[in-house]
Amino acid sequence: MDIMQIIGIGISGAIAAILLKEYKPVYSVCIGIITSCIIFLLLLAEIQYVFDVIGAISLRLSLNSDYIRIIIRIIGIAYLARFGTEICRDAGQNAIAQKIELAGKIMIVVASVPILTAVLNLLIGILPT
Amino acid sequence: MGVELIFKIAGIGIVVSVLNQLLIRSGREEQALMTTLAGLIVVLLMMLNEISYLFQTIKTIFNL
Repeated sequence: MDIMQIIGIGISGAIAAILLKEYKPVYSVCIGIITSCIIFLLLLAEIQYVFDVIGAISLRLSLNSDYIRIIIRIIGIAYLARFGTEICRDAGQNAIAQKIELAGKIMIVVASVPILTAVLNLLIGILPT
Repeated sequence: MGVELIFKIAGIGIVVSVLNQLLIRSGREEQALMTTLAGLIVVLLMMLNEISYLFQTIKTIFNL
């Protein structure tokens, strides 16, 4: 999926959204949501390819694959939270956007607990107690 | 994939806003509200499939 096609879709979506903003603002938010969904769905193959490469590299370096999986999960949570936040900002609801961002941060901290415990155990092992 | 979806929703939006103005000018405000709601429901249903497909693929790719 080359970049020109994605730019074309984005610009046409933006123009359609602006066109409808003065008459029916609801539809401009809907167009914003749909355009961002379509552009992300067009990028699926590339994202899958990147994650496969990361998995292969981590296997070759015999890294612990749990941490890689946690990192990928955190990327997903961050992307989704950003997706919801920006749509709420498009709709003009900054308070809701702030709450979604807070939820995203908390979910990321929750998801990264195993890594934190691993680091702590490592430190405790090193410190001469 | 769904590029025509953008223009379908834009078309529905334009038609609904024109109908709305038409009905308001001819004195039928309630029907104008009805058509706006109907158009909105149609658009939301069309968006529903696309968004559920998006969240499903995100769940599989990022194994959330």
